[in-house]
Formats: sequence, C-alpha cells, structure tokens
Amino acid sequence: MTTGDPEKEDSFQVGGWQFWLEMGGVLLIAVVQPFLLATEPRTPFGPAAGLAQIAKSTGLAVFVWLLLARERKTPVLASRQSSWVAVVAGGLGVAAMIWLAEDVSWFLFRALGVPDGDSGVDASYRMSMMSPWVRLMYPIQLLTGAIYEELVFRAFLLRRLAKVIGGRMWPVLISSSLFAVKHGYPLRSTLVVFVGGLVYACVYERYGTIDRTVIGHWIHNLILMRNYV
Amino acid sequence: MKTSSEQQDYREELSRLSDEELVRIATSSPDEYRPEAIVAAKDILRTRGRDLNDSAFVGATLEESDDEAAASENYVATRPLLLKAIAAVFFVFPLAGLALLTSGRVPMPPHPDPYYVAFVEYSLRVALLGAEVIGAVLLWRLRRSAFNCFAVALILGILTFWWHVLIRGWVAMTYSTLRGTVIGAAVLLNVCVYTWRLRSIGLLK
Repeated sequence: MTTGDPEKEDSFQVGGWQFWLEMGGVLLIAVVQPFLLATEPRTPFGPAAGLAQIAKSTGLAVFVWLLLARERKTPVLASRQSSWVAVVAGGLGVAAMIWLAEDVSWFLFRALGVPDGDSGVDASYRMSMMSPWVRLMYPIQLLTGAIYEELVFRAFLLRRLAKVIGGRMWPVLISSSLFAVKHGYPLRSTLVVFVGGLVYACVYERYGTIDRTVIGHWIHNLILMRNYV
Repeated sequence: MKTSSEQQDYREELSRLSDEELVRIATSSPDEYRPEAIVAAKDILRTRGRDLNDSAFVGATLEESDDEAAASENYVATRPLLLKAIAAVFFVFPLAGLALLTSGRVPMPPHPDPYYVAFVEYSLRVALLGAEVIGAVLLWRLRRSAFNCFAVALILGILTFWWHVLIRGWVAMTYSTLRGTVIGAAVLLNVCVYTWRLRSIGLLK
C-alpha cells in the first residue's frame, strides 16, 4: 500500500522470520485466542475482570504501537494533518455509517435466511452491568478496546496484508473477516460485524490514521451499551 | 502554515470546478481567494494541460466566463454535487417533517409534561428546523452565512438533547434515541466542516 506521501511510507520489508513472527503472534493474540474464548459459555463479569480486560487491551495496544512506531514515521492515532473538529466530525460520521451498514446488512442477511443464534452476550452484559463499578469502568474498557482493535486490525494487519498481497480489496476483505471472526458471534452477527469492519477499513484506507475509526468505534460501542444498562 | 493534507483538500474541492472557474481563481488577487486556493487552482489547471501563460487561452476563457456572467444576473460558481445534495436534503426533509407534524398525519403521543416543557421543546425544534432550511437556501445561493446556520442548528440539536436529559433523565435515553442523536449530530457536524471548507476556499461568498 503506497500513500504517495513519503512520510507515511512503511519502512519494514516483507519476509524474514521477524516479519512472520510478529504477524503470527498478533494473529494468535488478537484473533485466535479471543475466538476460542468466545466459544466458551459467556458468563457475567465483575469489576476485576473489567480491569483485567483494560490492562490486556492497553498492554497489547502498546505492544502493537511499538511495532508500528518502529516502522512508520507518522503517528497512527493522532492525525497532525486534520483539525480536531474534522477528526471528531469524521469519527461521528464513522459511527453513523456503521449503524447504517449494520442495519442494512442485518435486514439483508435475515431476508436471505442466514441463521442466527443466541451467543449469550446480551444476558452476560445485562447481568454484568448491574454492578455500578462495571458501569463506571465500561466506557474506559470500550475505549481501550477500540484503540487496541483499530491498531491491530487496521493500522497493523491491513497495512501488512497490503504489503504481502498487494492491492486494496483483498487486504480490506481479509482484515475485516479476521475482525468479524475474532468476536465469535453466530453466523448472521458475524457477517454484520464483517460489514462494519469493511467500513472501518475503508475509512482507514482513506485517511491513513486510526483517529476517526477509534472515535467512531468507541461511540458505536458506547451507545450499544445502553441496551444493557 | 498549511499542511499537504489541507492543500490536498483544496485540490479535491477545486478539481470539481470548470476551467473557467479555475482560471478566474488562479488569476484573482489574494484578497478574493486564499493563497492556498490560488496555488491549488494553478496546479489543477497545469494537470489538465492548461497553460496560464497562454494569454490567448486565459483571455478567451475569462471573456467567455464574463459573457456567461453577464447573461445571467444571478451568476454563481459551479456548485459541487455534494453541495447540491446537502442543500436539497436540508431543504426538503425539515419542511416535510414539519408538514407531517402540523398536519397531524404523524400521531403525537399524549404530552404529560407541564406547558413550559412542551413550549421549550417545540420552540427548539422549530428553531432547529428553521436554521436547517435557511442554511440549505443560503448554501444553494453560495452564501458564507450557510455555515453559521448549520452551526446554530448543531448547537440547537445539542441543546435539545440536553433538555430531554434534564427533563426526563438518562433513563428515557434509549438506545434508539441516543443512536438518532449521534447520527443527527454526525451529519450536521460534517456539514459544518464541509461548508467551512467551502468558505475557506472562497466558493461561499
């Protein structure tokens, strides 16, 4: 993926044991492990589990950030090239696009008869949100989660896949598929998350930074939380 | 100092304009258009293979443009498609909503609130719709104040939201209410950013 801007060009080289070790490690931690965890029965969580989740997301985000900082001159989160108003407006726009894409795809997949089931997420969150401490820390948990997911699936995986495969379409499709599979939802919900992932990936492709997608991702999840409180 | 991204934004906005408009911008004084817009207009003309040093081309283009302007008293610059779409949406939708509400076609739920609550709510709603419609008209007419109207509409939207929170509490803020509020704010904020950009490049006068 070339942006045409020499400041944004990647300095890493495809191939070599270090490249594949980093790719494999991130895929294992960010896709395989969460997917396997999601296949277990979902249970309500308390404040301690919430704190652990924040620590895990923050740690992994820092790890991926360091990998990216080594190979890229421009920051991946804070955009120096747009005003903060444009970034916030873009973030809100991303949230709006995600809802639209999810609504349309949900309707479409239901009409096509794609099966869906109860993943147990709703009941688990509803129970967990009864704790005021969980409610208090959940916005932070969602923010760290959004930063971590955008760093992994867009800033890291999408760029690396673009280097390996070339072009734009396949990297976007593959990173969005991994993003959807990672959640471990039933088929229809997975496809809806996949469509959402496509929106995030396209926005990342357009701007080259994750600030807008993080804001959009966070707002989307934050308001989704209202269903459980 | 302008960044390369802002320069790129200027290029994107200006690339939708015709040669005549670009020549007019490229040959204007910095008082009329921002220097970045003038530089971007020159760049685009260069990429289109137009030579600003070719006095015959510039003269003929400006003359043609002046003739067109003279032909119509309401001469306006070429409107980008997005501008037309925003103006149409913000003109039609608020008016249609208002017409449906006032005609009683949309049944209103019984209002248990005190009179002053209903009064404030309706006033805010009418002011918001009015700001949107006026903004749409001003945007169509390429007026700078279109930005102000959309900014006022955004502020009124935020005020309306907090008024609801204040009166009914967070409990009444359901998922769909919050979602609708965010989508509305997202659209208006992006329209504000877009009109501000049009203002910056001198398309809105």
